[in-house]
Amino acid sequence: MARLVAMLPVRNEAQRWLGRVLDQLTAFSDAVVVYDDASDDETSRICRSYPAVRYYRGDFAWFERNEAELRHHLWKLTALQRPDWVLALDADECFEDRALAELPRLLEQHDYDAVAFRIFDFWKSTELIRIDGAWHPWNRFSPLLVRFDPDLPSGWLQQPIHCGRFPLAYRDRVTFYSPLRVRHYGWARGDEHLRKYLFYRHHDLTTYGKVQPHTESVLASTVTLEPWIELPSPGWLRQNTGV
Amino acid sequence: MKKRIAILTSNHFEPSGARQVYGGAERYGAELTRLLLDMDYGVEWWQVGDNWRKEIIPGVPIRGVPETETPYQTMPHLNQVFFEQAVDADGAIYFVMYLAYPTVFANSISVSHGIYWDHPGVDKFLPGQPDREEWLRRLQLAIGGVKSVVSVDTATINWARATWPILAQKFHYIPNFVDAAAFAPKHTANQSPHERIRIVFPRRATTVRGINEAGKAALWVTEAHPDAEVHFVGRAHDDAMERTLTAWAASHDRVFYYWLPPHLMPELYRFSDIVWIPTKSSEGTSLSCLEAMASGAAVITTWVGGLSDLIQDGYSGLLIEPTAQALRDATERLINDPAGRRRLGSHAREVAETFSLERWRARWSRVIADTL
Repeated sequence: MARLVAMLPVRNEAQRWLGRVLDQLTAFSDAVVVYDDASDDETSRICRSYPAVRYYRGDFAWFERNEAELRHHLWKLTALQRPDWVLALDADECFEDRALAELPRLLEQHDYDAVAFRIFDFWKSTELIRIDGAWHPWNRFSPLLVRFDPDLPSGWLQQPIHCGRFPLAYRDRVTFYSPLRVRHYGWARGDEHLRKYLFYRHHDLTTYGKVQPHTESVLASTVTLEPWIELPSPGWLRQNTGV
Repeated sequence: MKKRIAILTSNHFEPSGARQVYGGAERYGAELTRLLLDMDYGVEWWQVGDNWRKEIIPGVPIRGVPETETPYQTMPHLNQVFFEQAVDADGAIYFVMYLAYPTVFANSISVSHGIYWDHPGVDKFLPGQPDREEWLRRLQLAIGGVKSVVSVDTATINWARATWPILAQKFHYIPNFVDAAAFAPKHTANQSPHERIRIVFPRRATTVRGINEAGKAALWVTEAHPDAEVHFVGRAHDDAMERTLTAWAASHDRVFYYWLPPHLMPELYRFSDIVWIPTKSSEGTSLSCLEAMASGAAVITTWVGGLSDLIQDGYSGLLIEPTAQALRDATERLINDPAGRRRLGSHAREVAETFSLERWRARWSRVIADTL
């Protein structure tokens, strides 16, 4: 069986989605490497309650200063686990339920070296997803799962945010585009929107000299939403069927 | 020093490079690449694209050339850029027949994946007689220019024989292949595999593959048979269609829409009772049809393109007119006749063994050795 290691950067996630995310990740991963970016809430206790979690904590918050450094460090910690495959999620992302049976099956092959997924942004709820403009989940795939290759360099795209989840050398791998969907709860709480908007606004002004349209769209007065559709598992596709 | 083969195709990836078009032709391309590598050739691919460079299979490059015009259903500008950029190659394979116009390498092969001009939409691109004549002139030059044409079906060869008899001798009939070891039945003939009747549409979700007829038939069949379920397993041409199909399937009981990586397809077929290949046009000798046959499924398909090279009606599957009604009627017949269904599947398996990957590789190896 291929060894799947998930990696997760976290910071003050105790009141957010961490339990739900770790419940799922630990169900299909051999290990989950968590780098705690100096949380001062119960994040540490939650992480340590999962035997499959390899928990590391830094004393000085990195994310808001340099996400690339944080992700590079997390990657190096993950490499220590000798993975065959690495899954990169954030602490507010998890797969739809059917992935529990289906995702491990994607690793049993040699045709591709990466798997990309569509990410759906829940908007001020856990039932509705946002689909206007660049929020449209159906128009893009994100590579979240790569085959680990110890011979590839681990250099990272050097920009403070939106620096990718994997080293530069892992871009443009032969990719399978999966129908499994990822739920992103990062925008599911309306009371977090202003704080997140100000964070991205600050970085836009620092990096581009002006606020980017996608950042502005966070506070748009009208948005287009549609219901999340639950999809049943096809049934026959189970883990370790031995066929 | 290794001989180098340059291969020109139209769209293995979407021109943006963002998405792989994963149909039978693309799988054929990957298999042909592996054969060339095994024969110790260096391989490089070209296609339409925005100046990107990717890998078609690990270690084999494919370049995107920003030439998108298709006058008279040919791509002369793409052909020219390929001719210049691949100049160091020792030979070329034009992965679609019309791509070998207007220039060709001295040592070259083109591939016909089946008749594609049987689609009614061709009228949109070739609306009048002069347009058709110019397209035919170009196609004739493309076929005449290469040393050999490999055709996946007999329909294309016989069309050429009737149209330009002198060119028919260029053709080699190499029907598509199936890995009969990977695609194999799971159950013996007298076992009941599972409680439900599982029907699978294992193709890209496009109009030429009969997605609309299959959708209509799926609703009829699942309504009439509470023990039947229908799985649509294949990507659509665009995101909007995938979104529509996902929502449509979710709104109906026992109708599923998803797709799978290649290594899980054998398992899908093994768990299938009936496989639908309701093609309407642009078909050769479908890999999906062969894989379903090799897996011992009862196949319902049409007499379009090269499918009748694969299926003997009533013996190794059922051949129908590509309509929803005909698909429903044939499915009803098989649901109500489990023994007949298993008999078709058993014969299909035997026939499929004659289309083995080993034979395909041996035939292609001879053409490559003689031509390139």
